Amino acid sequence: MHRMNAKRFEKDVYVIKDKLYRFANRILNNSAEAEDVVHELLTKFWENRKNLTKYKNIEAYAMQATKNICFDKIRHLKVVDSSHAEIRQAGNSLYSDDYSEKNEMQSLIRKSIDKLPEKQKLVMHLRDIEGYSFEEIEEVLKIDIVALRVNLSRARKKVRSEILKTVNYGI
Amino acid sequence: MEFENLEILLEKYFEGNTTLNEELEIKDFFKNNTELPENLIETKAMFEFFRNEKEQQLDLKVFSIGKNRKVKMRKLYYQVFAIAASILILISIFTYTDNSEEQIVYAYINGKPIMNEQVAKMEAKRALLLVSSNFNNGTENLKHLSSFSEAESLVEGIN
Repeated sequence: MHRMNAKRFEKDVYVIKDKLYRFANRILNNSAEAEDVVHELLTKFWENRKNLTKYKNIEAYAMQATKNICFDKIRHLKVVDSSHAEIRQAGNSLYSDDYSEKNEMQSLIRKSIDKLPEKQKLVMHLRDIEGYSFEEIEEVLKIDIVALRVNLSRARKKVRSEILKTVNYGI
Repeated sequence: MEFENLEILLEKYFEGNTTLNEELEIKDFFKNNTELPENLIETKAMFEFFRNEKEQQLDLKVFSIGKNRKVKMRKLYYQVFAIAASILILISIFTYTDNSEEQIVYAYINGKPIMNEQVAKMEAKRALLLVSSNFNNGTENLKHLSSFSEAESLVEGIN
C-alpha cells in the first residue's frame, strides 16, 4: 500500500480535476458552481488523504463523491420535492445557461442532453464524453450494467431524434 | 472504414451494444471525414459535441497541493488587519493625549480662553505695551506735581 503524499495525490487525484469538473458541470449546468464543487472535493480528499489508499479505483470514487456534492448542492437550493426530475428542473431554472455557443447545432445537442432524465444524462456523459467502461460507470453511478445499456441506448436515440426534428422542420 | 461498416456500427451504437473500441472507431471516422452523406449529419454533430466537451478544462488558480493557499491568504489578511487596527488604536491614543496637553489655556481675554501660546504671548505683549504707554501718559501729568513744591516753597517764603 502506497503512502498518500503530495506527489501521489497529484498523480492520483489532481490529474482528474478536469473530468470531475466536466461531470459537475453536466449535473449543475453552471461552470462557477462546478468549479466550487471540484475545489471542495479536492480539499476534502486532501484532508482525508490517509484513507484514500484503501480505494482500488480512486477516480471512480472521486466521480461518485463529485456527484454526491452536486446533488447536495441542488438539494440545498430548497427544492422540497426530491424526485430527480423536479431537482433537475429546479436546477435548470435557478442556473441560467451560461454557454454562448457559436454553433447552433452544438447548443441544441447540449440542451437535449440537459433535458434527459438524470440517469440517462449521466450514463451518456460518462460513456460518450469520458469514454468510461461499463464497469467503471457501474462503480460511479451504482447502476447495474443491463440498466446502464438501456439508459445509454435511450439517451443516444433521444438526442438523435431531437437533432432530426430540428434538421427536418427547421425549428 | 467503409460507410457500410459504419452503418452497422452505428446501429449497434444506438442500441447501446458497441464496445469502447468500436466507439473509438466511430469517433475517429467522424473526426477524419468531413465530407459525409446527408443522413450522417446528425450523428456527426453528436460526436463533434462529445469531442468538444472533452476539451473543457478547469483552470484551478487557488488550489495547490499540500497547502490551501486560500486559507493561508485569509489568515494573513486577518493578521495584517489586526496589526493595522492596533497601530491605529495606539496612534489615536497618543494623538488624544497630545491634544489634551496642548489644550492648556494660556490666558483669558475678556473671558475668552486662549489656547495658542503664540497668540497668548502677543496678547500679553499688547497688554503690557498698553499699560506702559498709559504709564508714560500718566508721568507726563506728574510733571505738574513739581509746581506744587514750587508753590509750597513760595508759600514758605511768604510765611
